Amino acid sequence: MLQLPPKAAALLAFVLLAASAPAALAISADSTDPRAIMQAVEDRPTGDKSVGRMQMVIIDQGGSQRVRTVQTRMMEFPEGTKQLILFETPADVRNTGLLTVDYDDGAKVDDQWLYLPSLRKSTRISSSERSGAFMGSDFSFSDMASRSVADYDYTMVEQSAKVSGEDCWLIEARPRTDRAKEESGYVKSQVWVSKSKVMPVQSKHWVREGKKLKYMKFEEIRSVGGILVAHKISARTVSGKTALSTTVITFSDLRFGDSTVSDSDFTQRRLEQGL
Amino acid sequence: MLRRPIALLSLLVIALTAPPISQARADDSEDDGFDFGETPQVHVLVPAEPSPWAFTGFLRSDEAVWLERFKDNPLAKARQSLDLALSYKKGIIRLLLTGHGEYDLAYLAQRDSYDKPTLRAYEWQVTTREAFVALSLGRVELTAGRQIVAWGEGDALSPLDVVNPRDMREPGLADLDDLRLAVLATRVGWFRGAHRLEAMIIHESDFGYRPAPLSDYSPFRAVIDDNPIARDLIGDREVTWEHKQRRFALAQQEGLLRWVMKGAGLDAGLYLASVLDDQGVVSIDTADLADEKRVPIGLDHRRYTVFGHSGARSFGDFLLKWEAGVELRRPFTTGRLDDFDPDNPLASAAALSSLGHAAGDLLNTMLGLTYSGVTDLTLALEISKPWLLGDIDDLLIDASAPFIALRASYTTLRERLRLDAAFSMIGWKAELGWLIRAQATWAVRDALQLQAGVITYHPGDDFGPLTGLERHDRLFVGLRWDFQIL
Repeated sequence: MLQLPPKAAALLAFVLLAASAPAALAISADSTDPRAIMQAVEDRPTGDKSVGRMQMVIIDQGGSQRVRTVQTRMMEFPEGTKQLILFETPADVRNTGLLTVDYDDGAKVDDQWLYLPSLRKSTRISSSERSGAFMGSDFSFSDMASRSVADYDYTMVEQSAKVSGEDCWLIEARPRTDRAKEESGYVKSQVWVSKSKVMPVQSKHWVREGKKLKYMKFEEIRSVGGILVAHKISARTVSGKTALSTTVITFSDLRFGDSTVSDSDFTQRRLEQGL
Repeated sequence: MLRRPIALLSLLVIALTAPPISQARADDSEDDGFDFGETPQVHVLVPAEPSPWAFTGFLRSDEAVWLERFKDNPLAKARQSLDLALSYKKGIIRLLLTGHGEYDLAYLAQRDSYDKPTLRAYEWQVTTREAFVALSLGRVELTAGRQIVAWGEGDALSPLDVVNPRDMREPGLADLDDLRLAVLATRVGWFRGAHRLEAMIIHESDFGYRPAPLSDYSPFRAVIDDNPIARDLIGDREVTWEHKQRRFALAQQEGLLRWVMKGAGLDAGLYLASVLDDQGVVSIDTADLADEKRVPIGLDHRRYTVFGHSGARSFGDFLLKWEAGVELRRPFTTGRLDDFDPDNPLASAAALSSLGHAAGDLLNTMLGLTYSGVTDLTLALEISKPWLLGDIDDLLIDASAPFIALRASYTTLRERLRLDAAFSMIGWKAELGWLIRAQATWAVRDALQLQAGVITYHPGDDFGPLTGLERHDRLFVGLRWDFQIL
């Protein structure tokens, strides 16, 4: 069973952005200003077009796995971002598609259409809350969404923290408003930002509901078209001493600035044609 | 009459929206001593290059028991089905070939209690479904073959969805994959940005599947089967539907045209079609009643014209949908079957002979509102209201009765479990009846689903689609396995 979430398309676009950084960096390793560092993380240019495939493996407490595979296409346009997601697996949702137009203007409602092969038609769907689980995984919508740096207070916890030998800033982020807290779903977060890459390599989140903690890791960071990308992202949800579940996202066939991506990829016609 | 379902739905909604008792606000100072640890190793299953070919399908097993017939024959359904789909997509060409086969083991038990038309309608079926080739030539797309095209915005109720016939053998129970039936057609679409202009010719007169006249789900069974006069008249003969139209005839082709725009903040569509009435008006030829082997009930599928508009717009967590269509010269069955009286042969004969037809204009509207502002919960209400533009005496079924459909869907346990409830009502006071269906679907593993649920029917006081469904409440279970071979 797969409940296709509103916002999913935008989130898949942003999961790439959140896990990527340009090879040329805009902040000094000596910086001690956590807000400036987080702003540099958010401001990374990531190319105006991309294509890729993503596999998501959700592993529950008993070790059983569920696998989702999707193809994605993304393109920036003057008002925001367009994204097309087509599901490859599991077999019962094959050819299900989601087309999203995500506007930079927060006051403008995003457009989203879902195509269900069983219905043979694409229907508009409404945007929804962001703290819910994304496709039944350990990632929430907000984990993958672009965040406004202004919505958080930042504290430098450790100027030089080591993650697998890599020098990082350890920064704590707390939502400044109830709305930001509600949208993120977290009371606070700690983010390890690589000084050499200016991108997160791991993070820890205190979940607002349910006395849970969430651990995320960004691994297999490689350059694609001059942009550093984490090809493997994992999230583990923990309650007390028990790991409840883990989700591992793997990217493949990633291409940035792909010339085959055009406006015609983000239409109802393309959505309904499927894989 | 309506207090019980509304109370049930209210309880369901409250139960679905209430947070689990165990949830509590986390203290941000808490820690668990966990470390990030090693990321579990997973197999990367993404193949290097997607194939242009795909061969997929699903196996399904659906079982059901009649809740009110345990002492008779409780087995309502034991349908085993297989669906296969072969597709190819490369460059400008797209091909799709799908087939469906089913066998219902329930008809092996007490087989003599079913008449032959019922067995033909329900026991087994092997058929091709969609089978088409599509060519994309720049802004133009040409599709030829058996195909399914959905019009309008409504999910449960859509007055403008007049393209494909439907499987109406089990009201309220058909799976989405089976509901619309493919027809032989040629379609040309012109696309530009958010706009689509599409013309379609349907070459085949297929009016879908319906309950056999004396089968469990036929409204006529209540009138005919339980009436001694009608039973004597029919005797051992088969009662069958007989479509007046041939399956293929040049003059019967249907023409359809639509413009659809799905743009920033708004979806809109305009529609124009000249189609044959899928329902058909009942036409009994008294000369046919003399046939020794069968009693054919004629169904005349007359042509009418429909033009209309649809739209959709989202407002935060709400989605508003609407449709409005004018149906010109829409055919209706007339008659007064309510006058059927087992103790009065003359009145019964008069009622039977009163069946006729009339044509009239109809304005048909639909308004829908979907709410998805609570985590994992979707609530959808759709109301369809037709208005007769003029008077027609003795309509067999009230053509201006509203349809109300309320649905709730909730997912939990990381989307392994989905709970659905649907309430449908015909008439503002359910004069033509109501039904509730509730079900749970459990994802055993990827592409393997187990489903269980119940449906209860409550026919109204007036003759309608649910007439005769007094003893039709069902408990059902199903297992579905989707697979991909290529």
